[in-house]
Amino acid sequence: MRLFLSVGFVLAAGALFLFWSSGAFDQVAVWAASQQRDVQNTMAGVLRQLRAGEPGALAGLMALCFAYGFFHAVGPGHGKIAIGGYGAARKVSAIRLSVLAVLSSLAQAATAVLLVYTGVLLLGWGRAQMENIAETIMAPVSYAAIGAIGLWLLWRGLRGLLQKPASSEVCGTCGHAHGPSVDQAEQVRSVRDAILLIGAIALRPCTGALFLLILTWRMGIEFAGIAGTFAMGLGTASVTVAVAVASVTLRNGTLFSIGQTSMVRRAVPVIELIVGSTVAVLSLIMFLRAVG
Amino acid sequence: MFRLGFLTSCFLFAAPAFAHPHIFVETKLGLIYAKDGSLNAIRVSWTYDEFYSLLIFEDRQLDPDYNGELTSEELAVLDGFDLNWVDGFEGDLYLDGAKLGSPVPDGIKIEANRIVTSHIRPIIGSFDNTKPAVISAYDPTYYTAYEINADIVIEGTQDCSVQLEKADIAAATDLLEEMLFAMPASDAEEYFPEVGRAFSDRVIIKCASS
Repeated sequence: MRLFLSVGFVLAAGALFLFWSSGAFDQVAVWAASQQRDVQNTMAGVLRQLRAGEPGALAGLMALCFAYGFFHAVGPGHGKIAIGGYGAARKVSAIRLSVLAVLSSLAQAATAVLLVYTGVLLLGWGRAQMENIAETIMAPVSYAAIGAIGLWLLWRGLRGLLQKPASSEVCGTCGHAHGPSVDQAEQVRSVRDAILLIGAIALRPCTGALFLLILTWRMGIEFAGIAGTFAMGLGTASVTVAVAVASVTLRNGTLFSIGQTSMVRRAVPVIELIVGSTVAVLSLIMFLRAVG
Repeated sequence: MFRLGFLTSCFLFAAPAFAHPHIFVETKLGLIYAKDGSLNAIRVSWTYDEFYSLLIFEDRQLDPDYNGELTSEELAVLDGFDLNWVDGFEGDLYLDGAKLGSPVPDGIKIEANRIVTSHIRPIIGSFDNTKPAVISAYDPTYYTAYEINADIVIEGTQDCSVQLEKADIAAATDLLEEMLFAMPASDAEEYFPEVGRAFSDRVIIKCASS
């Protein structure tokens, strides 16, 4: 049985190496980028349907948001960055990493909601009032935005104070991290550590979520936007979770215990992406259902 | 750089931190030649993605019936919304060996729920017409992804060949990742590498000089 497993891993690794060397890996990023554009275009249509009260539109939006989050996390710059660190032979519990990933993504979504609605509510501009002052809408919105972003900068400063110097892997592509790194997960020893780590990631909400929240607020479908923001968070978390599960599972396989570091570095991300693409297929099915 | 309202604020405060394409713009180019065969100006048409178009509608409370169309009054309100450029904004359009002037508005319309705007960029000084014109369209921060349409219109001269080189996204992605890996995470957040150019399509136009 052990031998069978080992042979299986060698064959799988060989296939993955071919996959890597053929450049297919890079194609994943290319594909993800174009998918993100398509999802973005489709989302506009679904939002209009939702506004018109068409049945099924909410479910469609949730599926699209999940797909958006997923594609965003595997798109240019994100894919390999997010998973690069997992290639090293570390022992971090997949469950711990997954829980941290999901919690930090949800917290990041919560921050986006808080940021946009604080901006809206702090300045007291309800939608009804908004409609009355439609002609002078530009100025108040700018102020609301500046207020909100000021708040956000404040949070970022706070984060600088809270952050530990050891965090080594932050996805810079979006200017924010999409999930905890192995390093960070390893350092978590207490609930307080976990809260600090989650807080640090949560402090930088993603632009896509802010776009969606502002849009849905303006359209008067606030709930759908908030729910969609959390669905986006789960979509991005799905990548980290898939990677965590795959890397930990495969690392315990015989081949990887040999410790060919460079091989591990190359093969593990590819394996992880394959697991990720399983999630992609799932989200694509939902996506197609949403379109159809 | 040119978005008004909320988005302007977004840009002013957060442009370096927000990279990654969040706006997708299909770019159609037209080259305007003078009678003597010299390149005078470039006509640029931007078709925004549907999501961003909807965001702009909502930002200005246009299209209250959500049918994706605008009245002529609404269009007039929107006209020029993307031409109010801040200092230093290059219009995300680059012609090798020449400087482009301020944009001249050239119309706005809505097509299939998308905002389509057009403007003309005059060439400052003279462009050496014995050389091919090499044009690229990109946002250095890669916040907006421009894709150049293969259908390039040549106005005022006949004898030109047009070649479109699509961006090598895979290579650009590798470059981006190398840069991100090479810098400390804190720097990556504050000074995102300006990789937009690597993601840019390129057009090469050769005209027989008359």
